[in-house]
Parts: sequence; structure tokens; C-alpha cells
Amino acid sequence: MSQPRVLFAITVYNGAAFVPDCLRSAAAMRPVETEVDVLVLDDASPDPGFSDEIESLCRDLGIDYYRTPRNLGIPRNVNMGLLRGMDADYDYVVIANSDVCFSERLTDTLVATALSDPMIGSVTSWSNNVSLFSLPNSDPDRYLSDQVTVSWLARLLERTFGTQAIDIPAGISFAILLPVPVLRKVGLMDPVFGRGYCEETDWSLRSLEMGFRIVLAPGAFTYHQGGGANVAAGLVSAGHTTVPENEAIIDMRWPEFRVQVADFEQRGELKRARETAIDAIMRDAAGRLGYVITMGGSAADVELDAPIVELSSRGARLVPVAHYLGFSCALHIEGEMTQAITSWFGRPPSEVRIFEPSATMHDLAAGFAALGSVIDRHVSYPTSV
Amino acid sequence: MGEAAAATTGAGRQGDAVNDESHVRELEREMDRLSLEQSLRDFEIANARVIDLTKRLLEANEQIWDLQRQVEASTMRSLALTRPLAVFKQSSLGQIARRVLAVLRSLKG
Repeated sequence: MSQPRVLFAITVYNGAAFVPDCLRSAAAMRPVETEVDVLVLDDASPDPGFSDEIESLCRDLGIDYYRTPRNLGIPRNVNMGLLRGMDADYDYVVIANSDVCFSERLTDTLVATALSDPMIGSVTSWSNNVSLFSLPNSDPDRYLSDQVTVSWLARLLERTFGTQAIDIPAGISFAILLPVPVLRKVGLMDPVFGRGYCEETDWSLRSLEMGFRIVLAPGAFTYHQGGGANVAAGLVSAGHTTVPENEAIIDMRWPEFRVQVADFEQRGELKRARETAIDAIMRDAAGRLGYVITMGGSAADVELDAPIVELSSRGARLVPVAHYLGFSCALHIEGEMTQAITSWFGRPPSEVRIFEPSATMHDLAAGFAALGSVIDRHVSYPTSV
Repeated sequence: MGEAAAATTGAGRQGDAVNDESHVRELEREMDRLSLEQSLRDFEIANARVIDLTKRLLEANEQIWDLQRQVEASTMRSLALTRPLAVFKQSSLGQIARRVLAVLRSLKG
């Protein structure tokens, strides 16, 4: 049986600072269960020399390039990808922004998620920046923007969530998979949204009205830089993440949408997925790299390529909070702290750094020392009290 | 060769095809055709929307005119009703009535 064919359409409008990396990432995809053709849709980028450079890069990378004769705006440029997908009989179309970094097997995961239910009408990849569905990170541009990290995170999340699909109120077209049979029924993005924003919300709600599911794939991960390019292009005002005129169209057409969003947030399904994901990130990293416990100091004081568990006193209690690559989570553990932390990570800490210890912390450090952890004292503190 | 060595996606078909001039020209022709066809459809849709919106604008204008006429008629009726009262208040009888009312209020207070 032949593999599902995916047209991977990347919409581009200027962006010399980030588009080349995005295209390299697309060219480096190595799906094993899908057959992918990448098509760059340059919306008549006006920056001098930009389009020529991108076309040349596309040739070097072995991916298709098309520049529209004149600027269409995002919805109509996206439609070029959707039309090509339908016209050339692909099975799926992925619409992607050009300020993103893809994982090697992104299309495999998105397609597998779509195949888990024939009524799935769109699958949005999970990301550090996917509107209110984001996997929160303190500094994604610093921690998550490189290919190695994206691929590791994607593999980890795929192992953790598989083809799980979380129903969401609307898809986000920074990296979204649309099955072509669904496209043929729902149609294209509405050009009423002009230069763009909210067109995929409208498309999603049209698909939902026809009975299709709109889902997020927590098993897929795509780094997304975000709206900087759109501010630079004058699409949105600085400090804004959307276009109020287009939101007004959504409010008029779909008055129940805001209630659906509020209901979704109340359901808590995404909150649980976030907790599961960050737990998995911490455990996996600790398993590979070990982890360090800081007592009394801040994790920010420690430059380390491994998880850091910050132990701080909150009243009589010690609260452990784990940090790694801009992700953070409180460890919900019970019982004796030394055993509980060791059990949570599956191993004792490789090191314990003591900054402002209390007697309790001293006892804990002694417990970890007994398990083989290195104790590193950053204060003049007696070895026994 | 640049980055081509590292550049294959999926089953690796695309990398070879992209550097084939006939593939590039064929893709461009197909995309131009799709773009033109869709632009014509977009134009038809936009035109239909303009016609529809113009019709609705005319209907809304008509409603506005109707409402303005109603407001004017109501204003005229209101004036017709309030004018005799104003005339009465200006008359000697009206002046006397006002003083009587003032006395009555002070007695009540």
C-alpha cells in the first residue's frame, strides 16, 4: 500500500532573518510513513533580493518554490497551497508559517493523528507558541529554536502522547494538517479576512459545523517564533497578536465561539497534557543528563545543561520545583523528600548545591550524599550542626 | 551543489525533481493557472458580496430615512402638544397659577 502523500506548503512573506532556517528544517524532515513534497509559497515578498535568495535556497535544498505575481495576503496565499493539494490529488495538505522549526517526523505524527478518527478535519501541531494551546516556556527563542532540541522534544512527546487528539475550539495554521477530502467539503479560506488572521478560525468553525473534529496533536511538536514577522510586515500592530477587524467578523459569524473557548479552558484537558508533557521532559532529561538540586538558591543562579530542582522553604514545608530548558513544574511528591525526589526521577541527583541551607536542608543533603550525590557547598556552613 | 546533498524529503523524489527545469516550469504553469482561476472566483465572490452589501446598504438607508421621518413627525406632534402649555405659562393666568402653586408648596412644607 502506498504511503499517504502530503503537500507541505510554507507561506512566506519577507523574513530574511528566519525563513532560511525554516526551509532548511523543512528540507531536513525524514518521514518514514508519509511521502512529503515541500512547496514554498512566496507572497510576492517586497524586500529587495529576498525572493531570488529564497528561490535559490529552495533549489539547493531540493524543495519547490512559487512566487505569486502579486501580493495576495495570507488567506489567499494559503489557498494556493490548498488548491495545489486538491489539484494534484495529495491526501493531506500541511499549512505552515515560515518562522518555525519542524521535527523530522512531523508529518508522520500529524497524519497518524488524523487517521485515528475519520471525522478529524484538522490537526494542529503542539508548540511553544500556538495561541492559548501553547506548551509554556520561559524563553523559547533561547531554549527551543534549534533543530536538535525540536527533534528531541517531538520524539519525546510522540512517545508520551502517541496519536492522542485533543479537541480544540479552532485550529492554528502555523503548522496544521488538513485532509484533502475534508478540504473538498469545507472549501478554502475566506478572502474576506484580507491580509490575514482569523481565517483559520473561520475555516475551523465551518468544518465543525459540518461535523468534523478540530484537534491538537500533543504528540507533535513544532517550534514557533511567533508574530514578529507579522508586526514587521505591518499585518498586526505592535503589542497586538491579532487583527480586531477580523475578530469582529468572527464575533458576527460565530457568536458562540468565545463561549466555546471559555468552555475549553474550563475542561482542563490541555492543563493535564501540559503537566504530563513537562513531567516527561524533566524525567527524560534527568535520565540522560542527571539532575542537580539547589537548596536555598535560585535555579537562575546555575548555568547547567540538565534539570535543576530548586528546593525552597515555604513556611515549614520544602517545595521542589524542577526547571529545564525554560520549562518548569512543581514536583507533586509525598513522603520523605530524599526518597520521593529520587523515586520521581528514577535516580538520585548527581549533585546537590547548597546556597542558604537550613537544618532541614542539611539533613536532606546528608540523605542525598548517602545515595552517592556530590554535595557542593556555596556558603560557609558547618558540616554538622 | 550547496546544500542539496542534505536536501531530500519524504521518499526523496522531490530533491531530484526540483532541479529538473521542466518540473520547475510545469509547477509554475500549474500554479499560475490555479492562481488565475482562483482570482477569477475570488473576484466573482467579492463582486457578489459587493452587490449583496449594496442591496443591504440601500435597505438600511431606506430604514434610516423611515426612522428619521418618524422622529420628525413625533417631534412635530410633541411641539403641537407642548406649545399651548408654553403659551399658558406666559399668560397672566399662568403667572397667577404659578404663584398659587408656590404658596401651596410652602404651606405643605
